[in-house]
Amino acid sequence: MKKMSFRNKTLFIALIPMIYLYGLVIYPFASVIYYSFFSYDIGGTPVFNGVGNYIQLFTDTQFYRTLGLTLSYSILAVGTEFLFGIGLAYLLMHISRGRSVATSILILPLVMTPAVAGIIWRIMFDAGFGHVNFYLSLIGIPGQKWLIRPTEAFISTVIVDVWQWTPFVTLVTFAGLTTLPVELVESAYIDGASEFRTFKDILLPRIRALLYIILFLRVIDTLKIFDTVYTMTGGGPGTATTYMSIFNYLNLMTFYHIGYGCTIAAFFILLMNVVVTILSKKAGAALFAT
Amino acid sequence: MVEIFLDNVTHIYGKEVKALDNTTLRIENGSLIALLGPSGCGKTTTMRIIAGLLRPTSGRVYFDNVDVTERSSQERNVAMVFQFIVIYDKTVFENIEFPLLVRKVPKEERIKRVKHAAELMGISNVLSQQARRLDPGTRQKVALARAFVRQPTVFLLDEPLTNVDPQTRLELRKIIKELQKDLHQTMIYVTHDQAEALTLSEKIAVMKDGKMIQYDTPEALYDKPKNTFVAWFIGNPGMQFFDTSLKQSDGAFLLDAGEFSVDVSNVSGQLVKYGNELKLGIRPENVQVSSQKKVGWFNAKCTMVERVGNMYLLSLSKGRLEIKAKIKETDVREGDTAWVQFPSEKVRVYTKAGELII
Repeated sequence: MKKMSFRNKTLFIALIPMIYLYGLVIYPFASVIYYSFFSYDIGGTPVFNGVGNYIQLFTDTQFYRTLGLTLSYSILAVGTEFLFGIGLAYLLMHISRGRSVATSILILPLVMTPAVAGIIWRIMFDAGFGHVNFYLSLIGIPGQKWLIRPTEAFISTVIVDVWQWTPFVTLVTFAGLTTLPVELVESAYIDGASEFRTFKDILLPRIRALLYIILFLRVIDTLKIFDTVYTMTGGGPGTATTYMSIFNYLNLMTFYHIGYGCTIAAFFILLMNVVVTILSKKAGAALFAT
Repeated sequence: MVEIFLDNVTHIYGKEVKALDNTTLRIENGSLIALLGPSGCGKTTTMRIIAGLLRPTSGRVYFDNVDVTERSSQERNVAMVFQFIVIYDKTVFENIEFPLLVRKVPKEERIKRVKHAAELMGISNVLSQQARRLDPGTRQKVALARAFVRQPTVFLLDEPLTNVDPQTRLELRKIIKELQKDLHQTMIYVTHDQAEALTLSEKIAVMKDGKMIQYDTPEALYDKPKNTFVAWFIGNPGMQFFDTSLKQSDGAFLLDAGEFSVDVSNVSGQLVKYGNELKLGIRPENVQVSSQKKVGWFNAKCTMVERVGNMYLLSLSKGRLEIKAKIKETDVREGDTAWVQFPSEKVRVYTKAGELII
């Protein structure tokens, strides 16, 4: 038998963990798809009903509401994180003294477990004794019913996500900016551009690929948000913060609709795949353009 | 067009690194001068101070007798092309247009000037392409066009051809030379490549350890380098030196290197006041070599013959001395005894400290 070449041996060895991982992923993935074609509640027997679950899903008003809420949450949270994050990165570039202190402070929300962050902010947003209303009252703004009213609850979940993940956008953007050659800034300066214009027209476009990657990661994260929101609001009040993952979880683990829950999960996987494909193509195109 | 004057400029990085040491330099209006020297000699620091990117630790900078030391680069209206090819993430057109856009130049005027600059650089055919996708040579042309389009008072070029392929380097050298000739622009060119400096510039400022050693035409630097560093630095290879003693023998004054001597009777009056210990310098290309014995010539053994382009570089050994000769044609081979002469008009004499006497 022909002896395997070194290259092929190396490839084979590298593939083993990949095969194992995919095996772990493919089985549950295949199970989800399989059961999505069955009418199946816990304690019952799975009964094949073709695309019945899918028809139910696409005629379920709650599903559309959840989808709309999730997309709104993602757009608002990621948009705000980018605005603040890039702004903070710009400010960080202009600090020479105290930059390490500023960075250490920025990292704090990032190192907190999302579920714990949700619990802490639930206390902070409490309408009666929460810190947020207390500080608002100091500047003459009346307290809000943060986790009680649907709109305020939605906004509070966005605030928490922005609080926790803006530092990520800031630090990664800043790291990207620091790798740029100083001649780029000097050239723009000599050409007559202001600092802000240099930042906006010269530096940010140069790290476009990195920004797409950050966007990609944040969009994925916000679309599948679960732990922070679940510990903070449980998906409530009512269904005001029942985002896609929570909707899926409730159907599977609270209402025990296994078949329908798998249908929601299958759709969610498809949605994520579409988003991932679009964004990764953008990121790839930006990367190869450089 | 502007005359630039650096008045006793010193720059210290941090607390200890003295990059420039009391440098005074006057750059004439409309001239192309080169700052030449080994790495770390202060040429880029000088350029950055002229550009306004760096404020000197002490000393003043004048543009046409106006003190601009405290003024920004933008206020000085300088244009700079860097060694690192600076291209923005835009099309070629937008890259060249950028400085005009920032200055709110009207659209029609912008288009006209961009097209003119592109034509001068020979890049009109790539105006709509993304600049970053072009080869390094074309990108540097874009950077040059962007500098030119602003009609600055001074052009600063910081080793712009270092990262460019040889073919484009020749092309760009020609463009820079023509630009300067047509516009009579004051241009300052930083380089460590003396061939570039010698071919491009009207005058060269040779620098070493933060000091301006000699500021002169290429011809003067080559023929009358004012000290041994300049003499050694200019030339490929540079001037060679021999420690000699000034002696008198049979009424003649000789510079005696031990293994050979050179008659300097005609200039002895200028030499005697500098003491007995002097350095004799001669460029390899001025050393005469023959395979035939000649009167007044001394013999040496040829230890190596190297081909350098269309010339031969001979290494000759005379006792403990090594002599280099660069000649066009020779029948001397390795191991042969050759006959060598240093023509007195080509010999340069330096003090022991390395300063030029004759």
